[in-house]
Amino acid sequence: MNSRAAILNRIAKAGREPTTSVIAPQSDQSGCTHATLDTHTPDTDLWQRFTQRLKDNGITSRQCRDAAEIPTCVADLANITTSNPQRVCIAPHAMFQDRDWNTAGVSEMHYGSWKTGDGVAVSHARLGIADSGSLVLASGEDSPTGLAFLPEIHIIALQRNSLVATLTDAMVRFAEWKNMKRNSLPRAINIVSGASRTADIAGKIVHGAHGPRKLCVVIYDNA
Amino acid sequence: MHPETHHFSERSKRAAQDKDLQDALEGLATGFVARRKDAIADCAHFEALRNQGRDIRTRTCADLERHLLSFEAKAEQAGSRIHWAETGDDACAIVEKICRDAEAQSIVKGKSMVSEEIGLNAHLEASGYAVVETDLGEYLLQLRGETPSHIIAPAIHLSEHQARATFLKSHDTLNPKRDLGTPETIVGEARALMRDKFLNADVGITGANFLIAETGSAVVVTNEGNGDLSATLPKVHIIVTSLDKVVPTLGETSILLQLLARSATGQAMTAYTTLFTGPRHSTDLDGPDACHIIIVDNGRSDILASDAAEVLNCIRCGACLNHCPIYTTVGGHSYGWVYPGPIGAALNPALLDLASTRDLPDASTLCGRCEEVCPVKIPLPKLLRQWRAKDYARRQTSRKKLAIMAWAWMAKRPTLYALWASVIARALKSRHGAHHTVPLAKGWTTHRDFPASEGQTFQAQWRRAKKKARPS
Ligand code: SF4
Repeated sequence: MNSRAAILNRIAKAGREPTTSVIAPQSDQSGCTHATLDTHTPDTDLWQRFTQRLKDNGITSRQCRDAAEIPTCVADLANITTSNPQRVCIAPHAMFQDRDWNTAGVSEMHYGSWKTGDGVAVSHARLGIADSGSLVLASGEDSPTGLAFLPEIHIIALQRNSLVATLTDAMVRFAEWKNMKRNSLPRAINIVSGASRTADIAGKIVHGAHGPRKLCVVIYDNA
Repeated sequence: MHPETHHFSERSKRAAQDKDLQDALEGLATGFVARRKDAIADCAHFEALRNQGRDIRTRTCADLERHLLSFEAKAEQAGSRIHWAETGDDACAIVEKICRDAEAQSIVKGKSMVSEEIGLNAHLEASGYAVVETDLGEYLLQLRGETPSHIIAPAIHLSEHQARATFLKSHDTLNPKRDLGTPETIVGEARALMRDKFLNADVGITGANFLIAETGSAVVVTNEGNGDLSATLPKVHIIVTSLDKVVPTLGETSILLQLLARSATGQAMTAYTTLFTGPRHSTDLDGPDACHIIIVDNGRSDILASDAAEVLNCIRCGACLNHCPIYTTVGGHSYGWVYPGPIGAALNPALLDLASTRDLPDASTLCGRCEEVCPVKIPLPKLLRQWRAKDYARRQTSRKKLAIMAWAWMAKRPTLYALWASVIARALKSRHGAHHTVPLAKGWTTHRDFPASEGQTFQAQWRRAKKKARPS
């Protein structure tokens, strides 16, 4: 008997009866069970909660009217000036293309994956989560995963109508993000809730352990 | 990691006297415990989440075969290779073969308790591979040749001074006069060194906090982001995990993630929570070309059939450690194996054996704090009591039982019994009225003297007295 069969056989023999649960499971066609989950909608205004949570998580946020203002917000958040030029790596997302980065002061920039020497990276979020102050990124042709982990400063753009209340609200939606060809989720879905940090030196929290030291969000209205 | 669970008693005594360790453990109360308390106060529905968490784990374990099969099918559909390992050695051999096929020169690794359990680093190093632990705490331990002392904060036992000294000694090609005066500078040095390792690694190994059956995804949670770098930059990603990590759906995983972050570090969400599903797609701009998932059993399927099955509900948050009066006094190394604290005391006898771990279930005051804080409500005190009862029964069957059987045999033979008793009575006679030591009775004589005997059994004295009183 191979390992797989031996293990599954022992599990089957354990013969534990499925117990009834307070979460009534419903079967879908995949044979998986979906729980009826208490998604707990926050009573306070979603946006108020979101911005408060971002602050709690040490995430700096800027609001702008439309996507055309994103370059100016990026330059401001990363403190890019002529005396502090920084190379910016920008995800090749439709919202970032054909923008006037140069006028905003971002003269050194490229679209695509992170390269050694890129101090700042800009990516686009699929969702924001009010309850935990998180941003959800999904890998794909317009979103390289490395941007979230390799620069010193990571800036995430979030469209205003992409905010959901809870982590559960966000995660149940992932199922809709299936790549048609492979019928599977994006390779990496990152739920980012703060800059990289560690408490491994005597319990003191230090930012920039491996990834970004600073995380910022630009929230823009639907253009 | 080689189990040394039978040294609990000596180690814990030493730990209680270790000033550095005691200072480090004191920090738990102001750190993890206080932050968890605040995070829970800020979450009105935390108790409801706990009930859901317990139900999700219990129900999943009750129907584990179906969920594992569903996970396997979805993960393969997404392009992952699934490997099943019955034992730790099997798992190590599978990882080694993948590294060999990938012609790996260098390997980066994220924190994984299962890989500690199966001794993966030692195995790979013995096979000639350079493996670098990338979690800062684990990296410090690797340089020092130590093992983790906490489930989520492996180097909690080290002081800032010890971390600095370790870097000065190990990074000996750097300027010895460089500034490492603050935690920030120590972290900065690790970051710079590690960046090169990440960019040049051929294989990245991580664990998984959860496996999602609905989508075939593996969830990795870190605050440093090292797990994501290990999973994204090298051309091969290997996930080493155990079969109890499976969760049926995305929605249910979201409940467990909320419980995990709040209970572990007191965050609403950990900095990076990532769902990995298969290797890179053809249009992706980065990510590995291959993704292997190794599902390790290593005794868990047997636990599932036992009365200790509830230990498999654990989501490894570490809260029971932080709140345990024993753990916070003796530290993690006293427990002698990968899993310390109350969960270790309940799990290790099941994963190893009761004979070598029998001190661990005793290392509890049964105060119940662990169960109170456990996000999935595992009845840890009940499980510990169960192990104590089993150990008692087990030991009854060995030495004690043998002694009782011998006594019973003798007691049924009055002449022999009287002879034996008179020998003992004579041996215990003393001019001083008491003995300071008596063979086989150290437990008594350590604290008090043993009264001397009259030199004769009661029956012999009775017979003599009767003889004397009889008129001749
Ligand atoms: S037993 Fe409960 S409290 Fe302890 S680590 Fe596991 S989930 Fe956390």
